[in-house]
Amino acid sequence: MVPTLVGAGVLCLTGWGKVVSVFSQAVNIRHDQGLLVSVVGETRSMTFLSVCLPALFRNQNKGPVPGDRVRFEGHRLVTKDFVVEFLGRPTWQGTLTRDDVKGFHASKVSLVKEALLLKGRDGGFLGLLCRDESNNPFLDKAMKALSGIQSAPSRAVRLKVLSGLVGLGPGSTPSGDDFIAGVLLGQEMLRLLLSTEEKAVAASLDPMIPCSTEKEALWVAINRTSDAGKTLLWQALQGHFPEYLIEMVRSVSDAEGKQEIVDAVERAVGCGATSGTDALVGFVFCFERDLYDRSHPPPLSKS
Amino acid sequence: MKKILVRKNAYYDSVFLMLATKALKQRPGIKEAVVAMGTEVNLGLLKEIGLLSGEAESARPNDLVIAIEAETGEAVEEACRIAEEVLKKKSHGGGGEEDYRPVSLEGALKILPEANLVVISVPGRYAAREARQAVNKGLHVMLFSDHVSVEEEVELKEMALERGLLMMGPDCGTAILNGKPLCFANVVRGGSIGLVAASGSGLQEVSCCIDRMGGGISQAIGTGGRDLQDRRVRGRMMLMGIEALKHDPETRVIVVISKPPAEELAAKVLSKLKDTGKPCVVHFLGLKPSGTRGSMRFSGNMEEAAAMAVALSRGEEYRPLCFSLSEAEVSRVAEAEVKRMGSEQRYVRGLFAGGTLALEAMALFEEEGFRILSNVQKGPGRALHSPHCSESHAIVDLGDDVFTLGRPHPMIDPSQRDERIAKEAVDPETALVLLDVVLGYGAHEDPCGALAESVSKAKGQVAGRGGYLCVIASITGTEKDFQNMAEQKKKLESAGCLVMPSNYQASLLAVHVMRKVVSR
Repeated sequence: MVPTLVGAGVLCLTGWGKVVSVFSQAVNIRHDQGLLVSVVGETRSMTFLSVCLPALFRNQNKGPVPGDRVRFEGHRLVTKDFVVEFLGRPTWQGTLTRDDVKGFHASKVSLVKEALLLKGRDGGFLGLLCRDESNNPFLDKAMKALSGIQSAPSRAVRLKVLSGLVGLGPGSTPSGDDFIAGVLLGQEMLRLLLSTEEKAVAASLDPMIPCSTEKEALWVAINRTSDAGKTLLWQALQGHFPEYLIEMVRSVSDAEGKQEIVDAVERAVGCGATSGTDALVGFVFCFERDLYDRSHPPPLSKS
Repeated sequence: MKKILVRKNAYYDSVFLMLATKALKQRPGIKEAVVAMGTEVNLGLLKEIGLLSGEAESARPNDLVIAIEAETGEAVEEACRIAEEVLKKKSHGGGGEEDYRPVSLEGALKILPEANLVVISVPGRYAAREARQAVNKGLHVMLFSDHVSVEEEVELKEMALERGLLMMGPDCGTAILNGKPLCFANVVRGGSIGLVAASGSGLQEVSCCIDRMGGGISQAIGTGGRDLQDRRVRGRMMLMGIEALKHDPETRVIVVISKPPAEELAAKVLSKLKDTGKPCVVHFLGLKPSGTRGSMRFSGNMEEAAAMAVALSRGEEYRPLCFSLSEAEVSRVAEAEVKRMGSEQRYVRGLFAGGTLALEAMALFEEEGFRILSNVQKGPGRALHSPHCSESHAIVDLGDDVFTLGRPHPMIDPSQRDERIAKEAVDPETALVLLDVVLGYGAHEDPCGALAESVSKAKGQVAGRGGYLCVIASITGTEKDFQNMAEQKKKLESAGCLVMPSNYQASLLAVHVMRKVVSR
């Protein structure tokens, strides 16, 4: 499979797919070889492999329905009723810029975590923050895996530990995939901070996984997860993240008070069942050195 | 006992998978239930906990794996049956091994050519197109979908009127036609009272009150909330509904329920009602009753509308509604509730699943001089800064779009309200939590079970810091609803809730308690 993001995020895919779900502002299409492509009506809905095409949602007579076969022809997507030309359409970028992160500092990580404990949804990996192991075997497994990351002797071993979470957990996008996307988002932020005058800030954040382009272990691992998870990670490894995460980073960076951070986190955790929560847990994890050292008490309690 | 199911190459959204897992885990006798994609690491985990065997070992990352462990073989089989049923219902696009499920109106009509009504629930962008097709085929329409433009609504209603068809909606959540409940409706007794309502939860509340009072429903027609609210729609379906009830031989009394309409529309509705020659009850929410006009009576609340209709249907004189508690009892209850509260507890927090029920409570509090903030209030000083955070006296409609984007409606999934109750309990200024519970088709199978748990926790938390949390609720439903009204009520009461027979009475009791709170 050779899907690519060309230039400024122009989608190029070949082969066949099928419409798997239709919403008022989004049509999700699963490529036969395992990526989810979304045609959406508003740029704010863009995520994963998205093309924004408001006209598709205005046309009452030719809407796709679940089960429709779709042919990808490079920069075009063809069904029996419509053709979507990707070229010239806004495609999802999902990238952070230096401007997006310039207001970020170490104390905001703690506030994000605090807000996450208050607003986050149970069922996925939220328990990693409050060590709640009750009735969630996926969480227990993730905790065990991550507890060893502190003592990992090298970056390669840390990445291997992290890649062990690929495909782990409930949801069509398994929680482990969302978590890793959050970690990668944190890394991307650090990369940007390190390249600006805010180096001191970035240094103080001290990531668990050093910034690196060497993510082979994760590239290999993404074939072990579902199509939805694979699409998410495939993009995140290239520095592209769902829009709701980008929006969260921007809002937290711009936030002047705690409530703004709480609101930003609340909006993000509203995405998916636990996707938003799991991604933010990963984001916090990227910065929280002591989180999984079981010899210390938890830094915050859930209540 | 263990059992594994595998659905090959299945795609379900995460919210649905989470709900399915929750539903299975809550079944009696279930020790463990895992619903997850068949990724390598998930399969490894299932193996570790002894939940992997047979077919599941060859599952692929895009296969859905359901692993169930239960105390008995019967419990396992029952859980598997439910899982299969739920997944089949949700299935998109049709796999080879499934029953034929039509994906278009044409397909549906091929397998049921005698159908004369279609319920449309598709994303708003496509809803008008589907409705247009249905009307062109001579079908009555119940349009459950929202996000349909006013222009389209007007066009669709005009088309339907020309053909003598009902176009209920858009955003029409409930109706009962010829004894057939549609979407969110309750199991009510048949009878001679016909309803037309521009309010879903309003229609449910009034029809359930009528049932409780011994009356019965002939027809209940929903119009969609904008029918009388938006001048451009001009009450087309309300007027047609009244006309239909005029000619319905079973209907002897007509009840109209709506938020206050524009003045000229109200005049049209009243004129149309007069023209029916049948006794009528009008309830325009938030407007004070102005007594009787000819054969028309005006009610001050939804329970009163029901009582008036029942009296009229029996040919009896309406006797003003009595509060189910005596004045002395109300005073005693309020006194007892307030006595245990901390001095800093001073605000009411209404957390509603039904929009009209929230509005009724709000109107009652405002009549009594309380300034209520809400997510459904417009205008400066009336809207909450954030719908997710209560401040001062607040009443929140949790069924509002802002809460249901990407999540099921609180009538279907109570977890969002559970979270909000916990949040209100953290606020030291919360004195009273006012709740509604809606039973019936489409609603959660055990709404009070879930609610009772969160109420108990919240009460415990407030008690832990030396206060007392008063919780008052009403249940919109009937004894015949599948959730079992009596059991639901018992669950709430055992959690320390004061449960009143109607939303009006619950709100009124809350007002009494809050009066005591503010006069301390």
